[in-house]
Amino acid sequence: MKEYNGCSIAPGVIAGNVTLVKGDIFTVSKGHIKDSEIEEHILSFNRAVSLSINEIDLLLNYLETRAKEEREILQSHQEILKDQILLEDVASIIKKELKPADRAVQEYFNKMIDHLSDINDVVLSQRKEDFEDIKMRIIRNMHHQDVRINDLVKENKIVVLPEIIPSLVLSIKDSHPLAVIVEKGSPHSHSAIIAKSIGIPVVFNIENALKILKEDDFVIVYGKEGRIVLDPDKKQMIEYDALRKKAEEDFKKKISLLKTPTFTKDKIRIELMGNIEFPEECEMPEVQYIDGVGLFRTEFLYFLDNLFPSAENQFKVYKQVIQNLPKGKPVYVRTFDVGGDKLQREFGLHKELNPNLGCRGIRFLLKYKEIFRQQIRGILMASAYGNLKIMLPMISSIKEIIESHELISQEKALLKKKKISFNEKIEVGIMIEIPSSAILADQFAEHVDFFSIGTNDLTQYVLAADRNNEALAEEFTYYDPAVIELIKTTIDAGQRHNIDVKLCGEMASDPVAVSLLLGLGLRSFSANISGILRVKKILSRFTITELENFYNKHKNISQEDLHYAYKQLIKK
Amino acid sequence: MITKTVTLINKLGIHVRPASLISKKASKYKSNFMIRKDDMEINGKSVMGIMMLGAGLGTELELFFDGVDEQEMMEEIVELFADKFGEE
Repeated sequence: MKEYNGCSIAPGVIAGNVTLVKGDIFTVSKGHIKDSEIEEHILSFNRAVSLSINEIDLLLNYLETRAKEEREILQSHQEILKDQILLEDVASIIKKELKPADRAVQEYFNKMIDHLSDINDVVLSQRKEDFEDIKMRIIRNMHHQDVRINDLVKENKIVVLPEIIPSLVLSIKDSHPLAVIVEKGSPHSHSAIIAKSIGIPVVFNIENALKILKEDDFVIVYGKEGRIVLDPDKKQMIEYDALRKKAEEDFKKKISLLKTPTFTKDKIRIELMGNIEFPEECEMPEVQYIDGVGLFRTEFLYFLDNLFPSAENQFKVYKQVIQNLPKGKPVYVRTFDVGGDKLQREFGLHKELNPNLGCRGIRFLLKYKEIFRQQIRGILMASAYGNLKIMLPMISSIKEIIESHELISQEKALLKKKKISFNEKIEVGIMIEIPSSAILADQFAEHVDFFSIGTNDLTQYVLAADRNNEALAEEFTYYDPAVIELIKTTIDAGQRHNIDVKLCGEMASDPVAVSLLLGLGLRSFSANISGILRVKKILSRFTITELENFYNKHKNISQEDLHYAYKQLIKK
Repeated sequence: MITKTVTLINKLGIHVRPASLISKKASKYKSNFMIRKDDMEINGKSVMGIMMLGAGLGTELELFFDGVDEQEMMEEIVELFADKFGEE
């Protein structure tokens, strides 16, 4: 019996025989390039660097604001990727030594890593990992699409890999392995996020796994602990059987809870949906069995390839999402919420001093109408296959809604002319995340089919407090009475005008806040996947009357006291 | 040109974060900025270059500032080292 520790990516416990995928997933090109190919290789390198920078942006978006250390590491990686000297040095290796781009990157970073290993300083030599990580990220992004290892992976085995990239995760999934063990991989990678969604235990960073393990070795993988046990003894097998049994029971309980529609204690039906970012996430039970997807973020479509995809390509993604869900369940597609800060170079935009108050969300889309049109067309085309809705981000004026409707009508007319089917009555709603839209919710309501409150941005804009600013962590709270008041205004306006009001921000994943929101009259929530079970349990614990009374009794106290009062209520 | 000698007093040495801090501050100025450790000399405006030094706790570095705004640049950079890059 032997134990090895790595890092946990996806939970679950499973025992089985391993199959090793040796070697060459990431081999870099051999030989030399011709003079005529220099430019193409430098371009491919620059593109991979720029993709890597955007990939980190995407990850930073995804990481919770509280994960400070992880954010700092990723940000420092971005700094390195933006370093002019790095770009020049690698370009010069390509040019002078006529090495292919991927090999130039590998050699450059390996030299760096070797150099750091020579230094007699334990702390510094540990920083090699940063360079390994950056090196892999660039090379991965250079080799983006062309890896498939289906033939290598056998079913019902535990797959052991040297490294991993997103497309590999997906191709592995198709061959139904029991678990995945990876020698080297960053928990902050896009692969890690996708690996979480395939529903099997995944462990990264088991050092030398491919040397330690032999084909068909028997191991137990403990996903949550990030640990593997080779040749378990009898005692461990007994423990394992008990664990499996419990895990199966827990899983059954979880599924049955998820499948039961959500009602409050006094039998009021509450809609509970999930927020997703990647189509694959639809396959998780937390999304499959609940009331739909309340927020489908679409920015990844851009960040994956550094390009805004065509209507046709977007159509395929939206169709995949809708077809991955049980029939009839809604998917709220939020159109691109990107800003000039991320797209400066590509669009030749001026540097914005304050990107959060700049040209982002609907402002960007109405400025670059062709990008917006392609997205609208993609959503409309997919709407023929299921219940898709269009959700517009960062709306601050009615004029923006009218202009968006105008573009949507034009796209509908175009599809009709081409005889392409779509849902004529597709609902169009807006995010309520800028104070102006909440203040005038009554007027805005006349132009849309639904509201969806985004509490992160709403809080940030109401309190003028940057949510990523550590020094303001206390100021940034959605328990602030002004934020609550605007949420209430929005819910009330929705009721008066008979349109749905949803809430898809951080607040919907916070059980304490959810009990407050129910009392304010909110009946539809869209939570982060990790928060769904938690929130679902809370939603059925109280009667609406109970929560309304509780709110009315406490509404005039300070934000700290209000937060405290609700925490106590939940604890009971 | 101004030359300054500094000794690294932060526990972790110049890892990625200090390196990016130094290069960011240095890039604000027009003057040239070179750092020398033993026989290695690198451009202080490059994160990669600074990392390459592999400077740990107790390392002595020579800093060279050369250009129109060398005085201000020197003051700000030396301050960074003295402040242990904001680490405890």
